[in-house]
Amino acid sequence: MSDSGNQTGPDQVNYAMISKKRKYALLIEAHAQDLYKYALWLCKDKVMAEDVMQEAFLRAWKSLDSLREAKAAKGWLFTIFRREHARQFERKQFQYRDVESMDTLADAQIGYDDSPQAFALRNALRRLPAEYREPLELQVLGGFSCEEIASLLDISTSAVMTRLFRARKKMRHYLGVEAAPELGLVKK
Amino acid sequence: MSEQNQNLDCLEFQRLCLSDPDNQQAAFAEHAHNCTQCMGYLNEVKAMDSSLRDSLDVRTPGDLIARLQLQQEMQQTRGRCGLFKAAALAALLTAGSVLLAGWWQVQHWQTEQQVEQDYQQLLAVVVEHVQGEAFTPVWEFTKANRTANTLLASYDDALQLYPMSNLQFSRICPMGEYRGLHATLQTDHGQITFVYLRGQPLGDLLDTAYQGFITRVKPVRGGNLVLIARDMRALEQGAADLSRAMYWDI
Repeated sequence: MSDSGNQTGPDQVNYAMISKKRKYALLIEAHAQDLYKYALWLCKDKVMAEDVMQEAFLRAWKSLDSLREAKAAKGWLFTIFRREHARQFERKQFQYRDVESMDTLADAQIGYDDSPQAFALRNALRRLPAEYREPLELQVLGGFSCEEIASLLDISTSAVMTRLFRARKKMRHYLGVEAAPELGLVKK
Repeated sequence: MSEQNQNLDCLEFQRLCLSDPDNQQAAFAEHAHNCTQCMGYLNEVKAMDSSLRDSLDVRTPGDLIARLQLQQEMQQTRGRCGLFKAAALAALLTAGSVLLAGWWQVQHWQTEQQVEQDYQQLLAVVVEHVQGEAFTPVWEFTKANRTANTLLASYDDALQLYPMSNLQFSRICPMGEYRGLHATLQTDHGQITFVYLRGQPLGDLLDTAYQGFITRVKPVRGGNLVLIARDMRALEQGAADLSRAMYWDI
């Protein structure tokens, strides 16, 4: 089967009909950018983000035969990345703890927008408890649906929705948009 | 407001807004269409998501994509290798592990040393940064107060500033390895710069002279306040202004 001439979008590709090499190229083309943003945010360090990403893609290549549907590719890749990140985190925990506790990496150095508003948003996201932050990161950065996030985090969809609700509620509170803890009050 | 929306009330709608703002349910769309307040709420949530997405936007390094592609080609080549390479790799990994363990010990010790050194350097870094950054023109003070409060709240939502008519907000300053709020205050005796740095508060209030500046490091809840001025009276007045204005809403 020729690899060239496939004009459909990455989600419509029939993975059973294309070569492993082409499948891998499509994965990079379709998802590397989103994954890099996610990786950089999680790792807080360019070199580390690239390392973990390379390792994740290496693992993806090795088990690419198990990927049958293009629609599942993104979730599959993010799952591999998350596992790899957890492995690296465990391995190099002392480094991360150091980085986090001392705030040693400035956002501007990473390449993020250094406007006060952007900084405040990132800071608010950082302050969220991990259980609320994770689904929000996946929804906002990864573009995943609640069902996909549930599958990625191995929790129920309703639990995901509850966590997302609390995450945004807290974000709004941190940003001073919503002061009252009660639902439905919008500060004008 | 929402009596006509039988399927979804405003409370349910806003709850759904916060958990899934791109919800595709017909009832969700219908409610948004019929209730202007809820539509406004939805737009606010979507705007926050969009701003958050933009704030995390970075360009993917071009060479990373090339490396990912190259990696796969190398894997294909490596796939043909035999047991010898596996054994060599195992030996390498063992040696690597030993090195890593040694390195970990060294790093662990260095981390503790590093924390102390970093805080000794804090003042120098801030002063050098302030010297390097031109003082910004005066902003409209209500905007300066609002922005400063948003920033402070993003560090610690209990940390607030009462409105200060002499506040001139500057910008977020990466300041090397530190992050903090960098702003200036206009006093009767000249301008002072103050920096709020999140982190471990230093033990005592400390006044020093550094490169023609008079500086004060003041430990506060959740971090340190660094004040820099050319004139002692300006420093005292600025410090007093800040003491009055800064509070923790707890």
